[in-house]
Amino acid sequence: MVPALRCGWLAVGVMAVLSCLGVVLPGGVVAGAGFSGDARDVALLAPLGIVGFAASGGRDLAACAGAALAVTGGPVLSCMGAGWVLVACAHAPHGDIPRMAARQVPDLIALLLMAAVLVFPAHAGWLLPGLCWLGTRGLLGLSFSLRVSPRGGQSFQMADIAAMVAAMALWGHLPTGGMMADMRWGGVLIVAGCLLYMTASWRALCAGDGRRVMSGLLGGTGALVIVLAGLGLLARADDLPAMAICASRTFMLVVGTLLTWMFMARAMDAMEREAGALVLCRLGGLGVLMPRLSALFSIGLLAESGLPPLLGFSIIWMLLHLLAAMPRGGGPGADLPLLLALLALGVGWAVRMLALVRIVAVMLCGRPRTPRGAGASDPSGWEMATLLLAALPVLCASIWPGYWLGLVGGHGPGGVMWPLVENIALASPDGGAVLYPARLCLLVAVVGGVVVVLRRMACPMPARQVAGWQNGAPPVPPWMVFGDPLTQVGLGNPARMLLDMVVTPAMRRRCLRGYVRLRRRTGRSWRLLARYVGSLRPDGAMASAPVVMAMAGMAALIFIAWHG
Amino acid sequence: MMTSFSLAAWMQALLLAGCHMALVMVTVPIWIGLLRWMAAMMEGERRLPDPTAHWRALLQAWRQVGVRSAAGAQVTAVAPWLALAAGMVAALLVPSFSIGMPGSDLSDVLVVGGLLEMAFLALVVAALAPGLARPGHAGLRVVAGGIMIQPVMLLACAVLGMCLPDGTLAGLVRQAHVADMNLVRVPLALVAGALVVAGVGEGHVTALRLSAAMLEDLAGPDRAVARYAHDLLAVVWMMLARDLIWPEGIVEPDILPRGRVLVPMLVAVMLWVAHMLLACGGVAAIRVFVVSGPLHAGWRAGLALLCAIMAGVLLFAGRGMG
Repeated sequence: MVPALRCGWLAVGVMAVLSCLGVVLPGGVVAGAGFSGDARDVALLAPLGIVGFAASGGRDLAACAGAALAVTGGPVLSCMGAGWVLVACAHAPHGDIPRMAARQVPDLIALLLMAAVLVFPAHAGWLLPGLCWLGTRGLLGLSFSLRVSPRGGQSFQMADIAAMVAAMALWGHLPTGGMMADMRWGGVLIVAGCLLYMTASWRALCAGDGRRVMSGLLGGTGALVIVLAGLGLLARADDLPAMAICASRTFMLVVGTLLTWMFMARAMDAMEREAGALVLCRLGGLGVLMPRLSALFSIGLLAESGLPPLLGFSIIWMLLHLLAAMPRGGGPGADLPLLLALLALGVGWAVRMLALVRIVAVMLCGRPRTPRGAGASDPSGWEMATLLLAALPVLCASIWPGYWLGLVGGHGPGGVMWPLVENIALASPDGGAVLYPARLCLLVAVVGGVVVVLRRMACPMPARQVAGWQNGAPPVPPWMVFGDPLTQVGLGNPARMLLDMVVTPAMRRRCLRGYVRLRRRTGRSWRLLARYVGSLRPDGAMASAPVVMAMAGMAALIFIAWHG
Repeated sequence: MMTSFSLAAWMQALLLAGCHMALVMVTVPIWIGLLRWMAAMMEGERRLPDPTAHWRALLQAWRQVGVRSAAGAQVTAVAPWLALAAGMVAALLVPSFSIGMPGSDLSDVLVVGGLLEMAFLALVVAALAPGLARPGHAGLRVVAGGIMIQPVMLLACAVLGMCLPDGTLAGLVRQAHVADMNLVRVPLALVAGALVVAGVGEGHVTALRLSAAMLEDLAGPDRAVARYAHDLLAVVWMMLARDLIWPEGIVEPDILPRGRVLVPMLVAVMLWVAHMLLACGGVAAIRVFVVSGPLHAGWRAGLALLCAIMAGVLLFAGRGMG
């Protein structure tokens, strides 16, 4: 059943690509009642089809189906699809802690309210960005929390990518809510997105599980979606069409990075099969044990890191120029928000980079820490070939992002088929700054080739490999690190080093004690409040805090609507 | 006619790039030796290091037999060369005495900084690959200390983008030849200072110790290439800062009269040498007098971020007033 469904998703992806290329399919695109026949939505189906083809289980396929509903549906159906994806993601695989909890109830209520407001936008249309933020919170993995406990953090699966596509479709369907509302929401979303990017990067830095690290990094990508949505709202409110187009192009580049996540998810599945559970304190030395898969994984990490010349760098470059093109008021104080936003984004980027270095240091470098890990080897030829094929679209989109944008922008064949330089460049909103990723890749390749030739010519003799540094030492077993597995770089080091840069350990300890004391006091007051509420309701049934908050929000909405 | 003209332009660009790369690659160990000599002199040490000793140490390491730890041997074999390649691409994008080299339209601060960051991370990976305790921890400490270059790069790129239409170094040089740069000189100097403070770890005792510990277990050509790439990164950061502060010192080959090309080029090379000497002195002074002490990593990051934000504020304030 699952292979047939996967082939179906491949067919959907191929049809979406053909439709984007301008090929008229037999019967054409028929928009039914309740569905939107937008070309942009069809473009979102292309990465979704690839994700569905790469899905490994029924849960991922169910999430893809929900995401497809969210992409193609009208106001009501897209919200239903997003809720479906939420439920599908919450259905935990065996052995994991169930994720369907009270924390997803506000998201579902927000989606319900959003559907209602989308159908009747005249009453509370200005609330839509906030409702969309709440509704896509779980889909994009957004959270202000710094904790990475199993209960708080999610484990990265293929379904999360489908969830991200669904959330992007919801943000793409958002109608205009009035100039003032859009301006305010735009500012709020940009600030929130920068903070969410920082917290997601921090979660990735502190997580002890490879999949949770990845979900933290994916949360960073989700935060960029929020920032871009805010920039798009600002551009619409201030009537800046060039900036709006640039924001939507960057949005599509973020969609392109989902392909990276797709092949990273497959690579992590292969790693988990070979080396056991991806708990970081048990992994190590995969770079030597499975060199080909590790090289592919490193390319994915490089694409996610935002370093040149791959796709992540193009996104950071576009985002920087979008933020610089943000409309600002007069006076020197009006420019401070831009500097602070860039600062927050940059700090988040730095923490994200450190998290990537940590993953490389612990997983790929060093020696295996357990015999199970030491038994890992590269997957067989066919699986490796599929992984290589999965990485190919990302590399192509990195080198020629213009072609990717042309494809998902729904251009005709004349616009996509080999225009030379114009379509390969990425331009800033004012058109002044232009980035040529293809030329950058070419330059890197040429200089890299020169260095390879230099190396061949200068070092004809290969270096001798020794098992250890001590002369005469007995050969060490491959899973042992010179006698002590704990001497390698550990998990907690980077976060601790970063904190040491900010505050001294003594001060940190004092702050932590104060925080614990404060939590104890607030917990006591919450308990008192709960006891009071419990005394009001004699049956003793308690509602959770998010539900109460969502109910309070709904009551406030009804109150506002009632009084006009 | 047009083809021969573009071919001549390509030849000129390639010739310029070759001269530039030769000049930079040959002088890298000399700048680092001078920088260490200046830092030792400012700290008042009695026995000053020989500025040419660094060259000799590199050559000696190059001539040694290559030995690698079996753990991570594939990574150790590739990572230093990768760092060298990324550093060379960055060096190619930062003009020394002339613009007009291939890839000058890519000389964005974000591109250059990103390539330098990639080279830096490749060196750290080379230290982490064998799974040894001391180099690995030193590598992590170095990367945690230098990671705040990224917000500084974003802020620097934003400031440069507001000073110029295209935001590249080639555009900055072109504008410096036709417009008055005094209004933006102080913000650009602050940005340059921020980049140098955050990017260059040379000259400080703790940073030197850490970088030495990071590469201490490499041997043979791997070690020589890794050390050379490490030095190249510091020199490219200094060149970038120099270009931001004194863009007028770089010539533009398109506007030179045909007969007298060599004289302005030689003057530009001399100016570059003088400016790099000043940059070495400036970096040594910052390391010795400003961000010394055990908590230097935090101070480095904080000072660099402050300089970058101040550059933005000054630029906006100057615009508001002018």
